[in-house]
Amino acid sequence: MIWLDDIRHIENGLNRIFSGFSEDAGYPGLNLWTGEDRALVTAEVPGVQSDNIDISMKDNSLTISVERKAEEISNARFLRGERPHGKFARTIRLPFRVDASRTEATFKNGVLTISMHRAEEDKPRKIKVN
Amino acid sequence: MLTERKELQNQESGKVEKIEKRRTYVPAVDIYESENEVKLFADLPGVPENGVDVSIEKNILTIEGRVNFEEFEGLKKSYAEYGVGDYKRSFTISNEIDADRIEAIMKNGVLSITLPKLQPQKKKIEVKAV
Repeated sequence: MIWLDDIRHIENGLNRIFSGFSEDAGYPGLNLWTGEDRALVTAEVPGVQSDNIDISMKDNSLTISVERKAEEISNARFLRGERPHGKFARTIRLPFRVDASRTEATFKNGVLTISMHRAEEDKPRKIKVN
Repeated sequence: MLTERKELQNQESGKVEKIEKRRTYVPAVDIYESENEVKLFADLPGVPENGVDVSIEKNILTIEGRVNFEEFEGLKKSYAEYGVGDYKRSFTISNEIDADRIEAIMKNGVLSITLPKLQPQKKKIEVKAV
């Protein structure tokens, strides 16, 4: 007997492999945008309070930790749970070292956006050829 | 659960095809049931409050979310773990639900829908003498 669930599972797996997105991702997924001197990381973390978001940077790596608390519902039966809950942390390597004092983070519509600038000492120096 | 990526909406469900090149995803939901109501929470990150559409027809509840696509000037997406797209999902609601009293709140990318159950009413039916 063919189980439709199994076929759907295979279909999802194939979709993921061919979608072009990284398989190493944990939760939350991160997208990285880069330019010459700027880098921007976005993460989808709906329902999180901004004080439950921790962002720290060291050299050229950025660590984001969030805590997703489940809604408080009293006297209820849990029928379906697909949303992730609990504490999560992700670290991403940036293409250059960033200036922590010029980093900005915004949280809108459940999307966290961290905007960073390349550290001055990390910028390439032009060397004159005599 | 943690590495589950967003499911792509199945295009062949007999709906009208969209002309634009936008992906549509199936949002993750949590559903709770208590004595008087059913509560549904859907993750719709990136969707602003006015981008959500909740409708009910016969016994089908449909959630749609239109996302604001993020564009960052001068930056290129160099690494992506998640895709950005619209959201759509439908649910079949039981007859116990009072469709007139359904409420929906959108905050921080999470859509919370409260579906109150019909309160038992005792009606006295007058028997006519013919």
